[in-house]
Order: sequence, then structure tokens, then C-alpha cells
Amino acid sequence: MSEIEWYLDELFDQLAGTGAAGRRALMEAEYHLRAAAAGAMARGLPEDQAEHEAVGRFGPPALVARKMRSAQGAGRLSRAVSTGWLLAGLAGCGLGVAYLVEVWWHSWQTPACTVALAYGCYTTGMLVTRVTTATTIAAAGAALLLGRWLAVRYAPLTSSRRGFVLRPRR
Amino acid sequence: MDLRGHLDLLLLKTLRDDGPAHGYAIIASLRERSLGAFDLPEGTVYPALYRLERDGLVGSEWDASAARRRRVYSLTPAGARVLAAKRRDWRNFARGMRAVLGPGAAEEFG
Repeated sequence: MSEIEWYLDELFDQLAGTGAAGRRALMEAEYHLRAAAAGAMARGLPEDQAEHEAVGRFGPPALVARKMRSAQGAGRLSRAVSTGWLLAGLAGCGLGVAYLVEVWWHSWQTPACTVALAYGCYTTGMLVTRVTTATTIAAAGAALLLGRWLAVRYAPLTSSRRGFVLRPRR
Repeated sequence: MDLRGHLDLLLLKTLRDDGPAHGYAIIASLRERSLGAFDLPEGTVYPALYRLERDGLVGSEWDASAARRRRVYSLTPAGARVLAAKRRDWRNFARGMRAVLGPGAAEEFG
């Protein structure tokens, strides 16, 4: 077995359980190692030494696999934060708008009154307070969505819909 | 040389200057342009590329035109923006270091 084959087997073992991400990493590693070995052979090294050099430059399989797993784990965390942020923003907007509609509907159905705390009617103060609360909730949700959009665009935070990029594309 | 914190900037700049390239070519270019100073374990560059791709700074696609399929990476518009920002940060950092260490620091400590 050539040293490159041995290395790829080791890397395959180390990347077990990483699915499509690991498969892509293996394909790239194989291309890289064979290209590096071919380059070394073009410089005059015999095949076994060329493969030895290519494998040595690539780094220990355990180290490479650990960094690949780490990149994958960081992606999951980033996507979880991004998704949570998106849901919080949507929930804020939805809650605020729903409350605003409810206040409007209730005030339309209920007669106005001038005495505070009177049952079954709205004073202007109550109406203003409820509209302000609903608007604040909706605005907070919109601010969360805007903040997330800016973070995705400029920070950048991983978009929740982007998915794991190591998945091979057809 | 420890490249932690700087590898992203170097990879983005290499892609900007060289255009779309596969991993092996990016690493070879990085080694050549650094005059051998950035001779890091080549396998550790791929996770950095995956991270950049996940963050939308780099795009990639399989190139089947070669004898073996290979993944070709390219800089995205977001990557170009981040590159410009990171270069600004680096210039400020280098200016500050030079101010503290003195103009001949590179030769003195080199």
C-alpha cells in the first residue's frame, strides 16, 4: 500500500461520522496529496519519497481531522445562533402586530369611556399605552431582524438557510 | 510561524490576487509568496477554507475538467469587503507595532 493510500485510510478513520463533509474533505485531501507527490516527482524525487514528502507536508491525520471537525462544530453553533436570532425577530414582529390588531379590534368593538378602570370600555390613556406596547414589541422584533441581516451581511453570521457548506453540490 | 488570526486574511488575499483556485494551488501560492515563511501543515488550510465558505466569504464548486475532480474556490463580494476591512485592521496593527518597536524592528528581531 502506498503512503498516500495509508494516509487517506487514516484520515477516513479519523473523520468517521462526519458524513458528506468528511467525504468532501477526503476527496480534496486525495487530490492535494497526489498533486503534491506528482510535483515532487517532477523535481526528481522517486515515487516513495515524493509520497512521503506530500504526506509529511499535509500534517498528521489526527490534527487535520480535529481541525476539520472543529470547523464543522463551529458551523453548527453559528447556525444555531443565527436561527435563534431569526426566530426571536419573527416572534417579536408577529407578537407586536398581533397585539396591535387585537387592540384595534377590541377598541373598535368596545365603547370609549372617560373614567379610568371602568369595566368594558377603553379610555384614551389605556389605548395609547396598549398601542405603544404593541408597537414597541413589533419594533424590537424588526430591530432583531435588521440586526441579524446586518450580521449575516457584514459580520458575517452564518445564514440559517445556508446549511452546511461542506455538503457536496451536484 | 504561528498564523492564528491571520490565515483568513492571507487566504482571502491570495484568492483576490490569483483568482479562482483549488486548495493545492492556493497553498502553493501562499508558500511561494511568503518566501517559504508560511510553511504550515497543508491539511490545516482546508478547514480554514471551509470556515470561510460557511461564512459566505468564499465560494466553491467542483471542477471536473481536470483528470481528477477538484474543488475550486473563489472570493465572493462579501469576502472582498471583509478582506478590505481586515487589511485596514492589519495596517493599523502594523503601524502601532512599528511605532512601539521602532522602524528597524524587522531587521533587529528578524
